[in-house]
Amino acid sequence: MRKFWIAMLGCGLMVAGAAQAADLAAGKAGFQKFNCSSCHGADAKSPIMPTYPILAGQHQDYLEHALVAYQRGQRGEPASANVRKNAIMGGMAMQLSPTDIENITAWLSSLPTPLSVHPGEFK
Amino acid sequence: MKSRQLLDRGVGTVLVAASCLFAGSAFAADPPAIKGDAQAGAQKVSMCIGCHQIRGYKTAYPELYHVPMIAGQNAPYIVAALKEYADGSRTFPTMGAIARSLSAQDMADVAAYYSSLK
Repeated sequence: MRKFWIAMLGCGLMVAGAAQAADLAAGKAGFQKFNCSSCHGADAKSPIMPTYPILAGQHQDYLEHALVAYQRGQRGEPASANVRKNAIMGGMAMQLSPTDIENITAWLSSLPTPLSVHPGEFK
Repeated sequence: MKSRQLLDRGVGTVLVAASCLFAGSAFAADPPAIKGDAQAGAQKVSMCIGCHQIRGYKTAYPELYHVPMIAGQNAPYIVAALKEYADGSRTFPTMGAIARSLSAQDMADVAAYYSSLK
């Protein structure tokens, strides 16, 4: 009986994990659909201008925060709310649902990247 | 904002393409940017290391997320981000305070240093 309940718990965890996992394929499709790639590059690390960031491989939670901050900036929320005001990214971010943001940022963070924390020199 | 209604997909595509072109021409017309010196920048990152070079480091309450990886990032983007923090287009208490303490040359040097790290 105990084994049965352990097995049930395992099944439950797997289902929960699958339900929470972001949809990487949908994230990749969203990156194209919302024209992110037209400025940031199809690989998300070859932007058309060097003043635009490399996104590939960046931390997912940071990318999510950045997009939410652009939405706040576009809505005119107060500076105390950690906002970003940017004419291009404000308009882009406003089109995204929370699910879009989760999927797109999950896909971005899964990509190969030139970015690093690079703690080596200060050990 | 009305831009939300305007930005349906078709219009959005045109606007994005147009804004990229506009940004491109504005950038090209700018005077030569201050040249960053990576070696000088290495001496100016004492305020950056404690967050950006600690693996797994996160921001503090009320919004918890990993601080971005900036080693290997494009130098002109790092400068653009620092300028936005300094002028208040981006708000974050620590980054605002640090960015306002940097000269344009400091920003260019720090950006050159971080972009040089691979």
